[in-house]
Amino acid sequence: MLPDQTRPSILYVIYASAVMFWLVLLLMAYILALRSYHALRGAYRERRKAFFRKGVELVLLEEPLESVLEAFRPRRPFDQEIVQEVLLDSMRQLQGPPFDALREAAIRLGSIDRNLHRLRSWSRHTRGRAMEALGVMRAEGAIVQILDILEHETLDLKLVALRALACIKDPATLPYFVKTAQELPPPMLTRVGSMMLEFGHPAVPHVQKLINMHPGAFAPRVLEEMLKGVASDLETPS
Amino acid sequence: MVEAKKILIFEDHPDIQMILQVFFRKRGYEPIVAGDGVDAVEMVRKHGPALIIMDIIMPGKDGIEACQDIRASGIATPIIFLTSKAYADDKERGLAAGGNAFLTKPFNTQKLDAALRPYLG
Repeated sequence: MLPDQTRPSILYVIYASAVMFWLVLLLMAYILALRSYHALRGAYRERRKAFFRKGVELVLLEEPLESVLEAFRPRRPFDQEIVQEVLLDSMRQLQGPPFDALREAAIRLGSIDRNLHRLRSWSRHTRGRAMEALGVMRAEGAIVQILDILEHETLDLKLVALRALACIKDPATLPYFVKTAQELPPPMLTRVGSMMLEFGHPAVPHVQKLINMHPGAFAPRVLEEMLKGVASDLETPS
Repeated sequence: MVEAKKILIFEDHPDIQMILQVFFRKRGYEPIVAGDGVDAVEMVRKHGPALIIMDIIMPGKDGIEACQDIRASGIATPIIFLTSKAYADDKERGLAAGGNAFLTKPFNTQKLDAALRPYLG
């Protein structure tokens, strides 16, 4: 039998167990509430997205821009973000006149200005999403700002910035890809090379430079694909 | 009244489903959407489409397998792959599986129009 001073009081054990029980219960209730909130929020956003997809339909039906803008007009709080999401989702899938019409709508709805402002956000998550959005919208006006912040970003955001620049496709930004690649670990270089190839013919000397600088970073199959890309761009200059 | 030609679209992405539905309706066709390639052969037999649009990456069964199933069952309906998989290998696999044409996303509606012309007139 243990001496009295080392044996925990039975009352203490009961109190501690009760506190633990309520803590676990509270935690479970919190998790449940959080999951319900996310499910409800997701369902609400899906409904609003379905509502705003009418705007994309109008673009595809070649309706006048004013009707498209009216369809995309935010009506409730948080609609602005949902409208942008719908615009970006469709712009990622389309090229040509429908893309241009959606881009024009995004400009008129202030999406580009809002995202340019967000590039100065303290939150790296917000900056990343803004760069991504500006890239999809091919906002040439964002190039200087993206290049400005490119140097100071973390590795993952550097890739987001390069992805955005690859979408905007201004060949003047190609040297920045090679420069940034020097700071990236070898496994990321394949992605940088693929992004550069999206520029077409103007990227060829820069891609060759990248491969020559880091020949070991590219797996033979990837290198073969990239060289094929370089060769086809040399055959058909744009 | 002449019945509109049916276009069977195998695509799991809701935005592309919507875009393609509007695209084909605008041109006077009747689009039918399937979110995966699992019952591809049954779907084709049931609807008898004039053309099939096929994504490659889909849940359940991918587009290449679905295309092989369709061809293995003796159906000769033209199949156009519309996919984000843009490597030359993917194109070769798609055409070898029995696809008639291969387009990549993001796609230009004018190019899609041109790709459809030989099959829809």
